[in-house]
Amino acid sequence: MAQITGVESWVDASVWYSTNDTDWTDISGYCAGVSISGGGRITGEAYTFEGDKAILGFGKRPPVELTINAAYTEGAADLFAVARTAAEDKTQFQLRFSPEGGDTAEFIFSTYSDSRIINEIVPVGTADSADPAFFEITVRSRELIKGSAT
Amino acid sequence: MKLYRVLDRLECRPPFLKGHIGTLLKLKERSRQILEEKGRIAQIHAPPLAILPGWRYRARRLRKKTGIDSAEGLLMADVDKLAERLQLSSSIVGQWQDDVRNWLTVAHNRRQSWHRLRE
Repeated sequence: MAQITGVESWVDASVWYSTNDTDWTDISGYCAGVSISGGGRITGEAYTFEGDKAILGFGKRPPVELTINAAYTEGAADLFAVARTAAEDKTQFQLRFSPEGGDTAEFIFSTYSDSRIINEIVPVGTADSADPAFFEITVRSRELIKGSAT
Repeated sequence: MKLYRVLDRLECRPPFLKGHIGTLLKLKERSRQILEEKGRIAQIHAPPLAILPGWRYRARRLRKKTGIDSAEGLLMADVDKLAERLQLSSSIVGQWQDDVRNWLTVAHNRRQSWHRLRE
């Protein structure tokens, strides 16, 4: 098979948040990274006296945790303030991202409408670093919904 | 006017779910072209209504009273105007559209759409 072409990197990715599943605010200018944990299907295994290998069982899919790394700023309407309020009030907060940027037909992955922030929204850093301050937002969602940008 | 089947969830307000059938006029023409090129939507070329099982009588009546003889024509028509010309209730004509939409929806997608609706 010939080597594939057209592979995209993350350099032009886009990230958005929403507090109502309708209006999405672009936060690509804050965001420096996206990572995901969870969501993998639960599996089980058992062994019998006879065989040498496991018998496998495949179960449900647990929730997904989507984490973004965002620049820390202190404006009243900035991402930090919005996220901190949503985390404290336990209100809806969704994230979505597009690895290729979100032009027409490019894939978009969104957290479900009942997503909430589950981590402490606070900037962290060390005295020996001159890097800009960042903070993390971790959103827990029942699934990541894949769609295409229009 | 073209009729499309949505092959991947389309993010807009509200989103078009996988399996949806419609004209997608809410989207710009250029967007529809790109989505079709990239395989996110596909144009539907539906058969004449008269050959769908159980549609012979309805197809004849539709053709006689409204000139519509294709699934695309029926789905794109305004329900109320159609009902008036057919001297039927809008709910019956809406049901006809749903029947045809079901005929055009792949079973796999139909099941997925149903799951989404149930949520």
